[in-house]
Amino acid sequence: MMKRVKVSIPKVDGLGLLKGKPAYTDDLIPDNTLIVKFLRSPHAYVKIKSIDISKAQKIPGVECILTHHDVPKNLFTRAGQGYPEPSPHDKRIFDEYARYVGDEIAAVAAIDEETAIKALREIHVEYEILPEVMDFEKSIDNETIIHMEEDSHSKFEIGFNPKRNIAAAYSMEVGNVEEELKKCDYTVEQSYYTHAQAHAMMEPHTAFAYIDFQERLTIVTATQVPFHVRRIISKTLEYPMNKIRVIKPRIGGGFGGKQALHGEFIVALMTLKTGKPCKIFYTRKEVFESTCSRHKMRFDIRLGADKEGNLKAIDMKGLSDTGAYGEHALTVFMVAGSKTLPLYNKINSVKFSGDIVYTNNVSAGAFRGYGAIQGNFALESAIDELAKKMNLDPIKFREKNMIKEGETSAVFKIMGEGREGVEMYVESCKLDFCIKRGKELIKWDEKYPYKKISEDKIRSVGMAIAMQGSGIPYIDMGSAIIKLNEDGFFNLMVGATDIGTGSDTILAQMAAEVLETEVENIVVYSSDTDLTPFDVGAYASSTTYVSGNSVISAAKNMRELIIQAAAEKFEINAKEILFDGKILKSKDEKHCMSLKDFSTQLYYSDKQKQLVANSSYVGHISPPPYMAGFAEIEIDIKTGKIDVIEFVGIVDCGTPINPNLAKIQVEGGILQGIGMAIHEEVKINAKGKMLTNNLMNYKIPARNDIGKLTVEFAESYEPSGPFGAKSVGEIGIDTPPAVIANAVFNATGIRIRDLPITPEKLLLKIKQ
Amino acid sequence: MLTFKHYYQPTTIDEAYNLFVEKEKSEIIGGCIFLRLLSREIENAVDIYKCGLNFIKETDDTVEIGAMTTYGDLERNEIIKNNFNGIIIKAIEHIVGIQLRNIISVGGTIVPKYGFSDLITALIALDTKLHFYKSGEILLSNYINSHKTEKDILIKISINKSKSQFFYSNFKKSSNDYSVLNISLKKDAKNFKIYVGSRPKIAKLAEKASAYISENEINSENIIKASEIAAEELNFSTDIRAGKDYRKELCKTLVERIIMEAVK
Amino acid sequence: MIINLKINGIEKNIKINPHSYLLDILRDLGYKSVKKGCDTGSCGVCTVLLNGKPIRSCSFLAVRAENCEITTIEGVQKQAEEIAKYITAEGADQCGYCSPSLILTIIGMKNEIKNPTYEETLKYVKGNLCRCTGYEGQHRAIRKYLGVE
Repeated sequence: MMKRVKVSIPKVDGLGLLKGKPAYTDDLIPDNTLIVKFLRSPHAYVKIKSIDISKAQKIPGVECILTHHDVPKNLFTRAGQGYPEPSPHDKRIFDEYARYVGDEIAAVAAIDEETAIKALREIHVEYEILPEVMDFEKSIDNETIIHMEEDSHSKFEIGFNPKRNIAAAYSMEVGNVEEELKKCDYTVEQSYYTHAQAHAMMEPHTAFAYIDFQERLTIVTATQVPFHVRRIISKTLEYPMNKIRVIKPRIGGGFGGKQALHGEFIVALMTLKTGKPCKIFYTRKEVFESTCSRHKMRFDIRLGADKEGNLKAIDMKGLSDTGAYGEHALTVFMVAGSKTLPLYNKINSVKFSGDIVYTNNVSAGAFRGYGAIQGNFALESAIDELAKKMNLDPIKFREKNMIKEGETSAVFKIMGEGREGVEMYVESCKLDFCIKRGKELIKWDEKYPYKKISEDKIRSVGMAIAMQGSGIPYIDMGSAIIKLNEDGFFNLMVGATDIGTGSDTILAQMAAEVLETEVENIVVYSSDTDLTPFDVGAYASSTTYVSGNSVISAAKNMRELIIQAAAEKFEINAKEILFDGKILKSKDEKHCMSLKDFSTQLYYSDKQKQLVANSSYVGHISPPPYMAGFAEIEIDIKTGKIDVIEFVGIVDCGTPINPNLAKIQVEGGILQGIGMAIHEEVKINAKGKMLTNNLMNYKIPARNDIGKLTVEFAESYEPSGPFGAKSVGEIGIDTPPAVIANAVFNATGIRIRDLPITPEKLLLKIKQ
Repeated sequence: MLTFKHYYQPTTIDEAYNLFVEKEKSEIIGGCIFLRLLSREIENAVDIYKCGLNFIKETDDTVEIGAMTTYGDLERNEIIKNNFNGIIIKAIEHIVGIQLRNIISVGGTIVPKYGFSDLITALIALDTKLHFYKSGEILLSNYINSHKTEKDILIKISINKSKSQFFYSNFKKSSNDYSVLNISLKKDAKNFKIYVGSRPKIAKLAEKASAYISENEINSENIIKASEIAAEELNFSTDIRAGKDYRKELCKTLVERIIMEAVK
Repeated sequence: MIINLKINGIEKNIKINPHSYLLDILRDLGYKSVKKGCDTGSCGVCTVLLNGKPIRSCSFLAVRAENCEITTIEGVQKQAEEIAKYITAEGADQCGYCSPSLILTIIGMKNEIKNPTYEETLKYVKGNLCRCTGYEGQHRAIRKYLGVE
C-alpha cells in the first residue's frame, strides 16, 4: 500500500513561489551586474564585411563589446544532448555570417539597459546581403548554400550534407512497402504540414555569470540542461571544466525551449573579459526570433489496408525544416516515426525516411512532443482518412490495428533517437481502456459524426491515439545522493531538472516512500553541477522514469546504511534489525532507538559517521505512456470559428506518482496542442522577418479558448518503472491537432492537412 | 526602448497646450501603451496625465467622457452601463484583460485613429463628438476623414442621448486577440446605419447597405442582400490577422447577424 | 528626476528617468515578485495593484504612480497565502511564474467585487496568461476558493 506515492501533495516549492519569493534567474543577480545585449542581424542571410565598434566603445558606461574578431571560433551545437551530441556542430558564438533574421552579430556589456541599447545603435556593420532560402521545400540543392564553411561537421553519421543544405537524413524499412501497398485493397496517399510552433513560455530566456571567490566561473541560467551547459561552455570557450559551475534556479517554463544554450556563452565571455557579473534577459521578441521553434515538417503518408480492415503498410516520408542551425535535427525527426509508428504494430511493412534541411528561418529545436506531435498529426489524420475510405468506424479501425499490452513493434528495435533503438515488449499498455473511457466521457456514440445545432452551427467529435517514451535507453542517465542529517531528516541531491513540472516534489515523494518517512523530511536540492550528481536534464520524458529509478535505488541504499549502522551500534547482526522509518529496533526488542536520536548520535557521540547513499540509473527500455484524445467541437460555418467545447484525454502513464501534478502536465500539454492546432499561427514575410514575434500577434490559448477539459488516468503499472510509473511530461500535447482535424472533417467533410486550422482557412474552404 | 529627452507634467490643459505648441518636436503622452513599443527618443514629452481629463459626466441630454478616462473606468461606470444599450461596455469589456483596460484611455485610442479599435466602432454609431482644445467640436466620423496637422489636444468626447437603439458585435479568432472585424448599428424606427471597422481600416459607414435595409422590407432575402452590398461597397485588405477575402466573407456574416439582432 | 512612491505602505524617494516604467523600478527596488514576461502588455505577469486596482506595470510610467498606493504581493502575504493554498492543493502552481500575478489580480478583484461569482472571477482574470497548466487546474482552485465546488 503506497503512502507517499500515488498521492497528490502540494509541490515543495509551491507556496514560496506563489508568495513571490525571489527564486528565478533574474531575481538573483548580484549588485552591479552589467547588462548584456546582442546586436542581431536584420537580414536573413548576410556576410559581415566589416564591423566598426569604435563609436560605441566611446559611450560612457559601455564596458565591453565583442564581435567575431574577439571570440573563440570553435564550432559547437547549442543542443542540450548527451555527448558526443547527435546534432551537427555548425554554430560559432559569432560568425562572419548571419543565417537568419535575429542571428547574433555582436554583443555589448554596459552599466544599464539604456546604455547598452544606445551602444548597439552605434555599432556600424557593413553587410553583404546574400539570397535567402525561406522555403524548406526548395532548400535541397538550392543555389544558396547556408553552411558553406568547411569545418562544420557531425560527430556521428547522421547524413550531414551541408553542400545540399541537408543537416541530417534518415531511412529505414521493414519488409517491402511498395510490394505491400500494391497488394492492398484500400490505400490513402496524402501530405500533411505542421508549422514552427513557438514555446512561448512565460519566462524569457535569461542567464547571468560571475567569478566567485575561488576564481571560478559560475553561470546561473534558466536552463533544462545544466550539465550539458557546463560541458559545452568548457569545450567551446576552451575553459577548464573544473573552473565552471552551472546552477539552475527556479524556471518559468521551458517545454524544450530551454534545452539548448542561448545566453550562457555571452554572459560567460563577458564576465571573463570584464571580471564583473554580467546578465542577459531576452526580450520577448528575441525569444520568438532568436532562440528556437518547433521543427516545421511535411509528411507524405501512404497507408494500405485489406478488405477485412487490417492495416498492412505504412510509408512515412518526411521533410523537416531545422532552420539556420541543426540543433536536434535528426533526433526530432526520428521521434516523429519512433513514437508514432509502433502504435500500429500489426503491419507487414513500414518505411520511415526523410531529410532535415537548413533554411534561413530561426533555428528549430526541442519542443515538447519532439517530433511525435508532427508525426501524430500526419499519421492519425491519415488513419481517419483511410477508415473513411473503407467506410469503417475510425475507433473500431484503430482498436483492430493498434498495439496491445504484451506486444512489440519492429520499430522499437530499429528506431531510437539519433541511432538504433531497443527491442521491447510493452509491459503496460491500456490504450484499449483509454479509448473506451474517452468514448464514454465525450459521449461519442451520441455525437459521432456530427449534429446540426442551428442554421449556422455544427457540433462534431474527433479522436486520435498517441504514445511517447520514458527516457532514451542506454543514453539517459540520472543519479541521486541522499545524506542523513541529525534529527532524522534527509537531503536529496539530484541533477534532475525541475522546470516547473514538480520533479523535485515527486522525487521527494519516491524517497519518502522507500525511507518510510514524511515528505517534509526529504529536503531536495537539484541541478547544480558542483553540488548535485549528474542528470541529463529535463527532456525526453526522462525525469520520472530515469531519475526516479535512481532516487529509489539511492533511498534503498540509504535504508541499508542506516540498518547497518544501527547493527554496529547495537552490536548485533543487521538481519535482526527492524526499521519502520521512525524507529530502529531489534527483533528481540532488547534494543530500540528513534531515527531522530540515532542520527544525532551519529553526528556527535557514538561511532560517528556521515551516512551518504548514492545511485545511478540508465534505462534499458523506454516504456511508452499512451493516450487517447477526444474532442467535441462546434463550428460556426459562417465564420469558420472552431470552439473546443470539450477535450477528454485518458492517459496510461503507469502509476501517476503525484496524480494532481501528472494531471496538470497532461492538461497543459493538451492546451498547447490545441494552440498548435487552431490558434498559433507563424507568419514570416518573404525576406525572412518574423511578423508574429510577440504575444500580441502570436496567440497562445487564453482562458476562454477552451471549454471543458477532462483528464483521467488508466489503472496501469509499468514493472520497470519507479513504483510502476512511466513518464508523463510530453504525452498530453500529441493528439489535439489530429483530434481537431478529424472532428472538423466529421463536421464538414472538409479535410485540412496543414496546421493551424484557422477560421480563415476553414471558411474559405467551406465557401468553395 | 522609448526615451524622453525632456519631460513635462503640466497640471492644466492650458499649460499642456502651451508647452505642446511652444516646444519643438513635442508630443503628447496620453495612453502610452503603443508608445512603449517604439524604439526612439521623444525630444519633448508633454504628459497630460495630471490635467484632470479623467471624468464621466451626465446631463439631461448628453454624456461626456474625458480623454484620459480609462476603459476600466468606463466599464465600472453606471452612466455608461445605463445608456446607449450598453454598447460601449460590449465593445470594450472583452479586450485582453482588466489590467490593460485599467490603463488604456479613450483619447489614446481615438486620436491616433486605430483601425482595429472596438471602441471607435461603437462610438461612431453613437454620433460621438470630439472636443479639441484649440479647434473645438468635430464629429468623430469627420475627424476620421480629416487630416489635421495643427497641434491640438483632445479634451473630451460627448454623446447625445437619444431614443435610437444601438447594437455592437465583433469577430476575434482568439479571445484575447484584436478583432478581425467589428460592427455597430444604429436603429431609429425604420432607419438603419451600419458601421464596419477593423477592416483592418477604421470604422466606416456602409452607406449603400444601410440605405438598402432602411428602404426595403425586413426579410431574410433583403438582409442577405444588404450584407452583400456592404461587403461590396467597403474596402478590405490583408494584414497579419486576416486576409482580404476572409474579411469580406465575415462582413456578410456580421452584417446579417447584427441586422437580425436589431429587428428581433 | 526624483519621485515619491508608496509601495506596500512604505514611502520611498526614488531617482528615475521620466521614461522608466513601473515594472523596472519595482524590480530594481527588490520587489522580485513582479515579473517581466512579454514587452507588449499581453501576458499579465507584471500585474500590480494601483490604488487597489490591477494594472500592467510594464505599461505604466513610474512617474504617473506618484501619490498612488502601489501593492505588490510582498505587501499582502497573508491574503496571498490564503488563495495560494487552493492553487497548490491542485498542483496548479507548476512553474509559478504567472501565479503571483494571478493571485494579486484576484485580491484586486475582491477590492471591487465583494462576493464575486465564478463567471465574474474568470472574466476578471482573463488577462492572466499561463502556458504551463492549461488553466483547468487554476479554475478548479478558483472554484474551491469561492466555495462553488
